[in-house]
Amino acid sequence: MTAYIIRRLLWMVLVLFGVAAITFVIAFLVPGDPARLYAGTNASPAAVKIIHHQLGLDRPLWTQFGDYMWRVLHLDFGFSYRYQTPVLPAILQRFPATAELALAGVFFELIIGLPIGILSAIRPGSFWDRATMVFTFVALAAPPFWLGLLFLFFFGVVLPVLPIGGYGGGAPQYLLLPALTLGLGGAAYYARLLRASLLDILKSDYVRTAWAKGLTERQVIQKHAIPNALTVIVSQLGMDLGYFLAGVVVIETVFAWPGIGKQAVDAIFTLDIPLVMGTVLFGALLIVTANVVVDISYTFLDPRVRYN
Amino acid sequence: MKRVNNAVMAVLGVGAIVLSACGNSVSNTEGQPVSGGTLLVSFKDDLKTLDPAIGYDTDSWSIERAIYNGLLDYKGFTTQLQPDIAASMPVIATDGKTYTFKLRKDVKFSNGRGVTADDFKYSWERMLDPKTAGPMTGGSFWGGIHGAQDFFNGAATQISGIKVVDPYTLEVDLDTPNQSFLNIVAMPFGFVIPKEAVASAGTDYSHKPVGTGAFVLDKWTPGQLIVIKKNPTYFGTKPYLDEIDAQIGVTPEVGYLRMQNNQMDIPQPDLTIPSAQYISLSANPSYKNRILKTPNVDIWYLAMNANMKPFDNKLVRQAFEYVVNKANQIKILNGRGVVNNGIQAPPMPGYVPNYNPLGLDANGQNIQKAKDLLTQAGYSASHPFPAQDLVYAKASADSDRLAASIQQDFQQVGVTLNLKGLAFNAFLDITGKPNATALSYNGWIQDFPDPSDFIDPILTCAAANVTANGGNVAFYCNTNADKLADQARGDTNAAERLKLYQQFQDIIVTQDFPWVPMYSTVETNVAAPRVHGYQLHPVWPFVATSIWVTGTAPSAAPVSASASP
Amino acid sequence: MAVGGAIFIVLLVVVALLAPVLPIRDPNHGYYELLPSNGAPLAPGGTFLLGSDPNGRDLLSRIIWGSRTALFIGFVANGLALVVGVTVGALAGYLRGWFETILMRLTDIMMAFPVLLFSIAIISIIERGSVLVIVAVIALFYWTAVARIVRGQVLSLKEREFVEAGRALGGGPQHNLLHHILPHLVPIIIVYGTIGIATSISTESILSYIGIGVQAPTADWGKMVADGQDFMFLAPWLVIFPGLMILLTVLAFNLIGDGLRDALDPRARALFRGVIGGVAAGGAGLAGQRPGLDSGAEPT
Repeated sequence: MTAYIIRRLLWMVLVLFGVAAITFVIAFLVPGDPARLYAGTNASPAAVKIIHHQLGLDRPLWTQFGDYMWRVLHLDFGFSYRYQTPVLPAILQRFPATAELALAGVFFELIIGLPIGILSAIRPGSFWDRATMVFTFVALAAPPFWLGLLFLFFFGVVLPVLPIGGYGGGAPQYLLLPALTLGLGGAAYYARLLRASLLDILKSDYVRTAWAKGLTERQVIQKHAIPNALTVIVSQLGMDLGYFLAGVVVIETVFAWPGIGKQAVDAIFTLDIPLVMGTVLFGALLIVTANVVVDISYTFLDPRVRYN
Repeated sequence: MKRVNNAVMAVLGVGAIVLSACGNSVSNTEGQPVSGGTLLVSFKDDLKTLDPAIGYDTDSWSIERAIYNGLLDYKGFTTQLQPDIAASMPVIATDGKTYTFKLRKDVKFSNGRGVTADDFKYSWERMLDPKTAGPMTGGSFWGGIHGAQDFFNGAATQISGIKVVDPYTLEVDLDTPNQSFLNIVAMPFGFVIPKEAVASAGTDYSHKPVGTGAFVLDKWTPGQLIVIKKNPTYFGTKPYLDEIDAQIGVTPEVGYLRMQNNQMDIPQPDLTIPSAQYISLSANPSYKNRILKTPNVDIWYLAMNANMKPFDNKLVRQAFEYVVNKANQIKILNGRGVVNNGIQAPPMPGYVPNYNPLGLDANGQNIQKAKDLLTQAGYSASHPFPAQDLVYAKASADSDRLAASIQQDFQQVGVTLNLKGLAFNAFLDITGKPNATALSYNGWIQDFPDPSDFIDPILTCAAANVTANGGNVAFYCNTNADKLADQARGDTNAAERLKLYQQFQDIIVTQDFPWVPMYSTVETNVAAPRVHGYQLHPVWPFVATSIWVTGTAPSAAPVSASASP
Repeated sequence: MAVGGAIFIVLLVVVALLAPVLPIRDPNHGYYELLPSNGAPLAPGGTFLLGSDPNGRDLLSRIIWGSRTALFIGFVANGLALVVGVTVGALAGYLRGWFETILMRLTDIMMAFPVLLFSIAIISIIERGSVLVIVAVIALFYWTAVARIVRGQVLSLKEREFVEAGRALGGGPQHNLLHHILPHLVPIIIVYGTIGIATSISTESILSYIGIGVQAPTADWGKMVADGQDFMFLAPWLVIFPGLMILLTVLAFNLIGDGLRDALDPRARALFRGVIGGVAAGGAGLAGQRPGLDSGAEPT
């Protein structure tokens, strides 16, 4: 198992190296001189030239690449043109808002997804089950930005009982709609995932054995089926971080939530490429870390996992 | 100010006087002013900076205006200059090149230190220093100070034309007379800042400003909130408000909705009301009479680069003059604008009302004439006009809509335009390069109320020279026209000077055709009913000093609640 | 439900193909003369069945023409991803060795990216609004998920008797791949391809909504929602109808995919189990939409 953990960590380093290399290449495709963007749109050529040198843009490409990797290794993700500050602090400053939204989103995924998944698995083919299927299909197909706008319109303007977007210092009434919008698709997903794995488990041999032992339906489901099905969900949650970051970008844009996703989208429109690329790297770091953590913790949770 | 990226971004307005004349404004000055309270405003994006040497956008200027002062300022809500930190208007030598400013002795930075002439020399040299990388370096506004060019080139370590005569006397020497120099001095770039604050802020003075103004920065949570509070040591008339909270990340659309739910006082004070909100608010009995309007001093035009095909053919440029349905553009702007066939904007001195030397119809068109000219230029069904990119800056759906309407107009004369909307920075970059953009959609809004601002930075040969970083995106250069501009710049006879600028306009519109002038816009703003004394300033994007508030503060917020002590 | 989805898609495709000859208005022509002087969009009914936008353009026409944009990008981006993904995946699974190693490491890297952010970055840097760039970016992140699935499938097929038999009869790798393995991949390609279209369309709508997808004045559903959102409180139809079309189209493709899976290849269940996480983080992470969802996920 130790070998497995080491392998996963090596894998993590390799992947992050690849990610950084790709972001470097992309950043180099930027049309125009980064020094010019850095200096501001009205800066004089003299000022641009000074900055060009300060940024080291007149050095050979491979030197710049080596330098870039070295800096990334030291968590120096570059300098934001727009905010005139280093990238990583700019990201970390916004990250709590994103984390809050993401956690609340996961909360809604589970609080909505798990009960309806369990209930529909218990009575497959029932009216409840069919209604759940319709809900899950629609929730997975609805464009998140559109859903968010409809929520804003209904709860913020028609009723109006909730604020129309914004952060409000992270207060619950501000958090509710974005988190719900973010969580709804995931709730549908987990409901179906859970239903499917429950159905499989209920057909499996050891559950049949449990039935044979004369346990009640409730006991079988509570003691055997649900704990097993939940392991599926747990592993999936870790894998879904990439999905979550994508969702967060869209939801933050719709709800003007001041997290790293909105910051990155804004940065794109001011051509603040270091900030965008820094956010990409930061996101990759989160995803990879989460994957490795899930993989490793899974080996403890479920001894059936093969270490290859 | 510079080039603006779409109609919504147009903000500075001229003409409180014009306004009261047409009875179009409500200044919300009902009742007796009361002191105290907090005003809640919002901005869509975080401020880029509060460093006056760097900020060149209306968001930054809105707050900078409240925390800094310069030597001169505009009197009340007019375009007339008056002394601010200066004790009196400067003495101008008879050759028009030397300005002597006497400073007030009672002005203190909010850190407690008194302001002297040395601080102005420091602030201005820092602002012009290429190392500061501010927008004024090498630019046309301040470049006329004697010795500035040497300073830009690195040949001198200071600007010889900025002289400290004694602690309270500053002398400025120009290379050539410039009738708009006092307006330039009143720009935010001329604000005074203390050296020690810059030093102690390290690389981050942008976020740690220290000034002399009516307010001081209390708190800046990036991406969320900016709080400014009344400055107890302010030398001028104290403002009514104790505090202004600026929420960041609130789009104007959302801001106006919140205002109607009593969750906001003034949404995005430096931008005109967005289209949809303007339509609803002007139908809303509680608000329709509270909407403030003032002409923006701006001009929106298509720039045709005569150095590039097919616009090297004058007939083509001339043909384009007749195509755009300018009335449709105004309709897209909800009627908030006027058709403009010239290069000056109302109510700038020198603006000619109903200027129409080409005999365009009320929409600003003459389609048949355009077709004839294109035929003359050699284009026909068998030799169609090559499709062109229409390059424009996009910040909102408005820009796309305006561009789409122009695209439709040109279809009528058999010209295909491909819309190419770019982020504002990318737009500035590509249109600022020679021979990179043939046709672009541009806006220019005043820096100060003088007609030279609509010519020197955007239509002279110097501005077409890319090393000067001009806004001459048509890369228009006519030495005869240039001579008129040079002559006008230093002309002390006001009436004669305006004549020269009008002659310049005739050359552009009837002879050389570098632009298709389209329209000028009207700025609109509105505040919540509890806000009083709110007025639109002809030059400043937002003035808070006349405002007082009554009743309960907007319930916006955990944010502002936690910001209060 | 799958049949309902299929009917919807057939109708949509027919209308999209016929759009140029249907008796509808030019989607890009602004009827400014019909707008009131304050430029307010016209409500549904009257001159325009679904109302107009603030440019006086017919919303119905734009929705119909928008279906062309959505379907084009959906089919082409997904097609590209399938071609590349199936080829690379099949080769990796069949040949194994260094090729497979490189492929797997590459997909690891691709799946580590916060995909939407990265697509946004790439598109805005390369060229905003070029349909081909959008197609390429969607395909770029999607093919790795396809390749992983196909590789897994090939690995299991290789061990089966008929391939063994083919090998024993002296068939070369090319022969084996084409004649014995590829036919068995067809069901999974069809199922996966259908769901992939839904993912591509929803990804495209997000990119266009954010403002870096399809550009003005081309009719596009995501862009229409973005343009309409400022007017939502005045003219909700500008947001509701285009968004509804995205929902229905994505829903229909998902239903078809689901139905096809049950009908074509019951074994697909087993297949999808192993890769579901990869799909969610890869292709689906891109769009916030998760294809390949199946009834029996069990981590192995």
